[in-house]
Amino acid sequence: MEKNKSMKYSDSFFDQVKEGKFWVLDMVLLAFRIMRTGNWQMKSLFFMISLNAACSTIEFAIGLFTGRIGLVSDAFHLTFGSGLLTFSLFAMAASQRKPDHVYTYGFQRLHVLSAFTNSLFLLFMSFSLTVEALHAFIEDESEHKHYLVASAVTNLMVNLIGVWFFRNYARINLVYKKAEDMNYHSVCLHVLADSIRSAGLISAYWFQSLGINNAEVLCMGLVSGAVFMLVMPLFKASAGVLLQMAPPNIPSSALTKITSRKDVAQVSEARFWELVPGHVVGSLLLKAKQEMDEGPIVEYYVHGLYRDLGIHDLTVQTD
Amino acid sequence: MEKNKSFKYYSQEPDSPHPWNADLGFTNSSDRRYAFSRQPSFIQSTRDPQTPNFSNDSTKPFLSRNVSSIDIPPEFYTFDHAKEGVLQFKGSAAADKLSGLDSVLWVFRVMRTGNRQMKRLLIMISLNVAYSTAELAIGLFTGRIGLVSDAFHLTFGCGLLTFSLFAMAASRRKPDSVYTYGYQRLEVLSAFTNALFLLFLSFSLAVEALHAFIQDESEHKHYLIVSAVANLLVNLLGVWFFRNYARVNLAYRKPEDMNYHSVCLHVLADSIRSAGLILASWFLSLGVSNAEVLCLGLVSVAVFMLVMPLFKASGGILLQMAPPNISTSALGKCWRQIVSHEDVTEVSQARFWELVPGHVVGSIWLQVKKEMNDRRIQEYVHSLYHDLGIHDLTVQTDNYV
Repeated sequence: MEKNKSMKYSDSFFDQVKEGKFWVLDMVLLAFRIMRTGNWQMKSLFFMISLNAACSTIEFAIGLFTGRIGLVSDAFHLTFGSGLLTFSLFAMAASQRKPDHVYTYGFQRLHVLSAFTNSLFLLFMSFSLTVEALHAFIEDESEHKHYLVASAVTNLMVNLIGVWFFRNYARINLVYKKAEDMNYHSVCLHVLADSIRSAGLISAYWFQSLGINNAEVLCMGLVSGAVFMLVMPLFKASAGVLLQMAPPNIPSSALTKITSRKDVAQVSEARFWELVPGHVVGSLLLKAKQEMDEGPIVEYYVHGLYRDLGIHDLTVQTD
Repeated sequence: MEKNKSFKYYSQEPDSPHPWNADLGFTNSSDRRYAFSRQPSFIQSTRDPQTPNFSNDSTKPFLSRNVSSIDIPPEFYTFDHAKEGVLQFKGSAAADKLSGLDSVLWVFRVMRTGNRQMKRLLIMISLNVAYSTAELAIGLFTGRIGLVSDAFHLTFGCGLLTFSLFAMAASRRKPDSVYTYGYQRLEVLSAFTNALFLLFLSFSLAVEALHAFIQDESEHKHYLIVSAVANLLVNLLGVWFFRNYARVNLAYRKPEDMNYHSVCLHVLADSIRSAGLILASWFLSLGVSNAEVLCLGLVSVAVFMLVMPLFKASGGILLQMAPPNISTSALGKCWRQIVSHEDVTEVSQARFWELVPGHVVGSIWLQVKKEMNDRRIQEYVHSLYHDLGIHDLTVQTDNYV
């Protein structure tokens, strides 16, 4: 059990970022600290974001100089996506803070929120790809010019590097054992969806050069459907955690076991929810039949019962 | 009927009396007008929530809410929807997917039994759908691609409003074994999703402004002005419907507040965007260059500032943040008062979080010295936090010697 001292601040690097006027400098220092002390996922994500930023700056500059607007808007879309990846990185760093008076359970839930945000963005992307496909269907002219294929190829390369980094999480249905799992999974799905999109663009261009009509419609439609199917399980899982859904491994037989004891009158207000994947919090209200000396024995039993199920954070109020 | 099933669970307990009958004196059980009052939530509201329930009745659990059965947890926070009628859902499990016919029936149910805001939102969504279909048809017939893409963007926003409406309806479901706290958190999640979408909208408007800056030609053709005017009118109607929530910083007292606020901000942001487009074309016709850049940039910044407080508030609730309307110094004072109690050796794991705005849940672990006087200490702790407004507190007392 934690003592009162758990409320103290720790010396994690994020705590030392002051919210003053020089926050830009603090962010730069934070970036250096991430490169130095972060785990491998954070380091590879940081590398990915820098690579994306470099690509988009180069694309933006080339687009401006040659006057090709398609490159400029592609650069903007790339920046959009890397902004989201930056938020995931920020979540990875900030969730290591110790709990304080405002966030009494700590900051681990940031991982889940970042996973939800990423999956929501991927859903939006899938819908807008559908709109793009319908657009190309109505307007028989292709929106994507030739020079965009080169940028699509580079994009594909960069994203495939990202998929390789996070290859442990390259599954659709994943078992989330820790909080960070969701965040890493969302980052992997993000780069995977981006690479699918670039591959779709390249194959659409190739099919069109082969003379197949409506190649872009088909490819964009397929990509949109694929991204949607890819992201749905993560979306549902992260939304379930955020909606205080009880994890599936709590059988109701546990409650009947407690009520079948002779000295327990009734159990009420049984609440179970997942703070983050792997950390279940519960609370129960027990009413014991006798007045005296019922507390320790029943409580040990209840706590032990739920500890076997994997629920360590249980609060039992005995009346 | 689901209501009758819940009464059966009440009567299965031989020990506890039936408070709802005694308190309210409603004997006419078949009168549907009084149906809402037979729910436990209504009973809770007639009792003074400030005073804890000190009853010496040995059959009723001490310091408990009205329902004591495991299978139907009490809905102690759903005061509001009781007044607006019973919305019954088929089935009890959480993973019910509505089929096509079910969703049509559900729409009719919303129109019949929904509260005012839900009906207004349904009107808004139908207006938007009708308008976007008309725009799509006109765009297809006249071959103007700008109208078609505008229609698609409108459908996009419509879909989000439909999700908000779904959240409003679905959050009335009673808690079950999977969602032990009920479904009210859907409203917070829907508000967060709306806020995220508005942030994306603001970023994409900024990108559009930069686009217009680089490419000196205006993207928006003349015929789009008509659609912008119509869009503005529809959205202003929506703002009028939700005018109670047309503020940037709002105090969220009930869970629905966040959802309504997000819907209002959505239509407000859409109307600001349409107004910006109209202004930009007017300035362009006046000869002001870079009018579109300026207007879109202003709109983007305005939408961002508009949506930030809601984003932070809903994000905070989803991150299990302690309620912002209870100051940490007040919580610290309670903590110190408990620690300084003579029977308490140690206090640990004090956790407070908001399930939805207005419903704070807390849990705290105490170590007490003596074996007796558990109840006195529990009463004391409960009353301390009652004064702060935290009614849903679970106190674990360990009697270690």
